[in-house]
Amino acid sequence: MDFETLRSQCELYLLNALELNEREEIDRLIAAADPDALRAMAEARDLVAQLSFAAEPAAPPALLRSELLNRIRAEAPPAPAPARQPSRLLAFSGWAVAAVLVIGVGLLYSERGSLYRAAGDAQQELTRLRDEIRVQRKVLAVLMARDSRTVRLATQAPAVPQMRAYWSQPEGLILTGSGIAAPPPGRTLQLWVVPKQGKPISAGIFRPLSDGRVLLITESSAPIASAAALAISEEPEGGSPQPTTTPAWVGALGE
Amino acid sequence: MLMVLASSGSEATPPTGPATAETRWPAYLAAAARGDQSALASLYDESSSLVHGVVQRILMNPADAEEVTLDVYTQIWRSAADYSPQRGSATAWILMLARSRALDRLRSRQRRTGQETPIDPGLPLASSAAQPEELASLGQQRRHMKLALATLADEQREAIELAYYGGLSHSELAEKLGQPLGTVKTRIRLGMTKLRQLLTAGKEVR
Repeated sequence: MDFETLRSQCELYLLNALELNEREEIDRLIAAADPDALRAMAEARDLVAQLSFAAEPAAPPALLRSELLNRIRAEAPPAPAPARQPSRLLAFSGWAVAAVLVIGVGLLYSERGSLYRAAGDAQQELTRLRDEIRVQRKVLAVLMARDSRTVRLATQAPAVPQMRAYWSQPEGLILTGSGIAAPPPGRTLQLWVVPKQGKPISAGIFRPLSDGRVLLITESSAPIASAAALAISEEPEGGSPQPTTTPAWVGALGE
Repeated sequence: MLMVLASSGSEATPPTGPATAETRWPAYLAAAARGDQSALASLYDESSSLVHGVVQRILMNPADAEEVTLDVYTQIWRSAADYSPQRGSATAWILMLARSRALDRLRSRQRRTGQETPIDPGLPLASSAAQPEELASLGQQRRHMKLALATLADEQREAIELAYYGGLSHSELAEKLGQPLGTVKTRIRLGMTKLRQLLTAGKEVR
C-alpha cells in the first residue's frame, strides 16, 4: 500500500467507514509503530479534525469556565503563585473597549449597523439568561438535597455586604454575593471549609466581576458533617494551601 | 433571584513567542501536563468557542453540550501528558477528543430515548462572542474549510458531514442514504481527497 492510499485508509478509519478487516489492518500497523502508518494517521487526523471548522463557533456560558477551573483545582494542589504580571484580562478589556467604541461610532451612521448591534446585545442577553438558568438549576439542586446547608458569611465591618453559600455534599457548593469589592491586582479571594478539627480546606478561588457580583460554583471534598464554618480570605493570585491572612468573611454552618 | 456571574481567580500568561494556535496550544498542553492550571485556562479561553461549537453541532442540545464541553476540558487537563505532536497537531487532538466525547453522549442519549437527533429550536446557531485570539488565528482556517466543503459534490459533502457530525458508520450511512456500501465509502474517500487537495492548495497560496 503506498503512502497516499494508507493515509486515505486512515481518514476512512477515523470516519468509521472501513470494513472490520481493513480496520484491523490499520490497528495492526499502528500497534507495530510502523512509521508510515503513524505519519499517515497523524496527517489523516489533522485533516479530519479540520471538519470541525464547518461548525459555527459558539461561546459556552461564562459559568462553565469557572466550573472547569474549580473542578481542576479540586483535583490538584494550588500551583505556585505566578510572578506578578500585567493582567491579560485588563489588557484585553482595554482593547475590547476601544474596539467597541470604534465600531459603535461607525454603527451610528448606518441602520444596518444598529441591527448588528441589536443582534450582539441579544446574544449577550441570551448568554446571561442561560447563565442565570444554569445557576438557578444548580441552586435548586443544592437546596433540594437532603444534606443542604445555607450559610451567611459576614464581615466585622457592617458596611461590607454579606455573601451567602449553599452547600450539599453530592450537589456542590455555591457562593453568591453582590457589591463585593475586588481584591488588589495580584491578589484573589479564596473560600475555605473550616472543619471542626484540623486545618481549613480550600474550596476554590474567585474574583468578583467588575460590577461586584460574585458566583462561585465548586465542590468540596471536605465532609459537610465535619465542617464548622466557611470562611473567605484574601490570598496571593493562584490561591494558598492554607490561609495567609485573617478571613474577612466567616459564617458558621447551621444544622 | 440569583443573577450573578463569576470570574475565575487566576489568568494565564501565554507562552512567549508563538503567535498562532498551532504553536501556542501545544505549549499550553505541555504546561497543563505539568500541572499549570493557568495554561488550561488560556487554552480554554482560546479554544472553547471552537470546541463548544463542534459539540453543540453534534448534540443539538445546549444543556448536553455544556456538560460535554466541561468534560472535554477536564479530560484535556487529566490527559494533557498523552498528547504527542507525532500523533498530529494539538488542534486536531483537542477537536477529535471533543468529537469523540460528544458522539459518546449522542449515542448514550439515543440508546436512552430511542431518538435519532433531537433538534432544539432555541439552539443558537452562531455566537458573536468568540475570543479575538481565536478569530485571528482560526478564522482563516474556518473560511478555507467552508469554501472547500462548498466545492464538493453535494453527495460527498453530505456523506462526510453525516459521518463526522452524526458519527454514522458507513453501513449506517448506506442505510440512511439508501445507497450501496461501496458507493458511500467512495463518496467519503473522494470527498476527503478533494478536501486535502483544496486545503493544501490554500495553504500554499497563503
